[in-house]
Amino acid sequence: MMDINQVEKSDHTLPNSLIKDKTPLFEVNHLSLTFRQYKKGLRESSTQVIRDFSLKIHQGEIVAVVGASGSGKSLLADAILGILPENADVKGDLKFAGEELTMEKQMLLRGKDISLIPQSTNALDPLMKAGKQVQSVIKRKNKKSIQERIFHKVGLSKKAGEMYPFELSGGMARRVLVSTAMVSEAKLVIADEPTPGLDEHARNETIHYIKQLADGGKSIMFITHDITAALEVADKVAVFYAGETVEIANIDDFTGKGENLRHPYTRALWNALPQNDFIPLKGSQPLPGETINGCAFESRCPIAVEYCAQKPPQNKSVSGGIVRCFHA
Amino acid sequence: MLEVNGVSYRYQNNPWLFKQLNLVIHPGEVVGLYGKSGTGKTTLATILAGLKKQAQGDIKVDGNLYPIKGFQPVQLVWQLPEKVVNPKWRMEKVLAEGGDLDPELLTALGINEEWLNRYPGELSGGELQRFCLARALGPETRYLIADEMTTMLDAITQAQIWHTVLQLVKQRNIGILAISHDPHLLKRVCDRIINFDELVGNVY
Amino acid sequence: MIERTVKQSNSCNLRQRTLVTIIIAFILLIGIILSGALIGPEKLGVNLQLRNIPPSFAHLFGTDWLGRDMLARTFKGLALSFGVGLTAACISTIIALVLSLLSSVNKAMDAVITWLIDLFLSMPHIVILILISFAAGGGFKGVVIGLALTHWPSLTRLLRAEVLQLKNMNYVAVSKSLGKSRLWIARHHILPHLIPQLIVGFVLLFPHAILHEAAITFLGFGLSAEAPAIGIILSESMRYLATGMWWLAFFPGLSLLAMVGIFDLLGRNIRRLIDPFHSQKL
Repeated sequence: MMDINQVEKSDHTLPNSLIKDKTPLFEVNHLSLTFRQYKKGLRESSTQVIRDFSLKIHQGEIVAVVGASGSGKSLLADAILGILPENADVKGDLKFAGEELTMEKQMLLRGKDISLIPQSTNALDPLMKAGKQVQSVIKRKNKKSIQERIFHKVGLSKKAGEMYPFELSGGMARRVLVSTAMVSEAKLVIADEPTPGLDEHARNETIHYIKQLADGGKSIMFITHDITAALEVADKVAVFYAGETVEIANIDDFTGKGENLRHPYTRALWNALPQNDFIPLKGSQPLPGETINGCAFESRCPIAVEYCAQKPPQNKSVSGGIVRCFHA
Repeated sequence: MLEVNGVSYRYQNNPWLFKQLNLVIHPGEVVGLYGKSGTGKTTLATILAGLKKQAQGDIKVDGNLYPIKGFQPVQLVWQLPEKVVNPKWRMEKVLAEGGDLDPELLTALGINEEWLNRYPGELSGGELQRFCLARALGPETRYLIADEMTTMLDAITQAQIWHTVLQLVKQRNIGILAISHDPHLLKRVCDRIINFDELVGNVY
Repeated sequence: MIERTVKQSNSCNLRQRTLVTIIIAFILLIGIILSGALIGPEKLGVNLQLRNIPPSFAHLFGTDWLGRDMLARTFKGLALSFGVGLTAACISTIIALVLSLLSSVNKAMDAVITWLIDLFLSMPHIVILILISFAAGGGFKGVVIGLALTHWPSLTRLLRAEVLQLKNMNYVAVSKSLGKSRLWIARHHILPHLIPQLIVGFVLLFPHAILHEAAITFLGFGLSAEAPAIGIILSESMRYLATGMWWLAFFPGLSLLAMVGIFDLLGRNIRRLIDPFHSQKL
């Protein structure tokens, strides 16, 4: 039997391999997000969507946030950029370049130091030419030549710069969005589900651009449910389940039957891939707003024991990664 | 047998999206289909489900020529389940729209009885997709078109759903056309895999 | 530490405030109508001894050149206006619903209905209103028919857009492939989505109808001169305004505006209550 107190003590302590010589560019600790909603009638109810999310991203690093749809991961981007709707309550520590990220700071940095590659290509301004949209982000002179150089880099012609978004194909629109992130002086780029629904070619291309962004010194937070895509580019993978980070693993941990993975959910996710064993795990993720007393994964966990349902496990570091499980 | 003979499609007077397309799916067979975006795979899926009309060619399902009145024996499962359920209906009513469904089907798909009283907004994508599948697998369904059915879902839910579907298909001898961009998935679930370009005679 | 919480106004949330506003507006309207209905003919009687009295405690709105109490006349007029507005708005809403559903049948039908909407909206409201109500024989019947036949276009346009959007929803396509008939789809998928729009549209038609009724009555094409309508009161008072009897037009006009305002408030708050997006806003 494991000493629970000791587990809690080890919270926050990072393994040596994760401490680089610099402070991380971006850091989130214990982020939670709750929505107020009107249920039937006049009563207001609140639904907790993100329970406890923590993550560190260093400069030039790609960190993938992997989670099932409905795990609240798409709201992460909104929470970091400070663009949540008015009925959202956010709590937590956010740090950018060592400084606290307050609401005012978010407003200041949004689009400048932190930029977003949105999920939908509908995010382009329909009334502005593609080239102009990219130029509007550039702070230096020679806007046009910079924009054309970037377009060339992502495989867009000069002509594409003169097109309106409705004239662009889906793939071209996606490249315009990526170029916007590339020309910006953003240090942190958040890519929100950029790959689903793309054919193999377009998907590989998108992944390649993300890699290019990181090679240019930008840090990337790559939000996706496609673990295969995450493994292709990311340095680290943060696994998100029911509003919590359950594991932060290194890419090399994903091999074989997942013996090196620390959390049973990550292992199940890895083994469910069609290229691996395609094993379905029973049950489904708790819905936002469901009360969870213990570990969020307890009901589906193959190795759960009694106390897993009673007390929530805390983050602890295990063999170069972080995990939220009593058994790791 | 679902037979597609020389089917072409274009929107009004736009250029042909595809021309002279031929395809046969046998009952109980799982056929995988992949291809570049924008070539008309989804359009083909909607035509097969009787939601759009082809410009040329004919389609026969078990000997009956399209268009078919009433319940379509070829049912489509869409990529985004959120868009194919009425947001104002409880899930109970959504299921009822598919006719009298076998309660065993719901159990097999892992549909929790508690979910029946909820609204679509209160369920996750994976849970909603199970409902859409159940609704599409009514007693009269002979063929199922799965257009990126699990693309938006995580690996575990994807495996869950496909395991159930493959089992049901064997039991009821239903033919499946699985459209996907994921070659690993197609290799896992399909009896044979076709490139969309090979189906089409001429593309302009 | 970042902490963002929604500010809560003292103990009652937005939805409660909205509901309270609706209830107050409703009570005010009911009050106006009831008081109008309860005022008997004796209150409206001529009393030449009490002619031309400016507003006082005995006669809050003053009296006119025949000594009739203006408060009683105003309320009677408002009740009458309400009746006219109710009937006209009801018929208009039904026309709008039927036309918007018909426009979804096919392209030709849609073109005809769009053309009708444009035709009616391109002509000055008041002109067709006068024409129709005159052709229908004037009086209460004429005014109601005129109002009903002229107030449907903007609501129809709104509903038509909504129906068109709903018709293209994927779940409607699925419903078709599950063998459901057009009528079934209209009843189960389309109509429930239209009801909020319909209720709001109906309530917001009231102020329009009432103002137009007053306008054409004022111009002499509407209700007959014996009816205590606001329009009549206003047009009659015109002759006495020059002699300094300002209260004859001021209070009835103000009351009319107040009633219209209350309706508008009611409509906007009902919309806030049933529109889920707006209900979340502060």
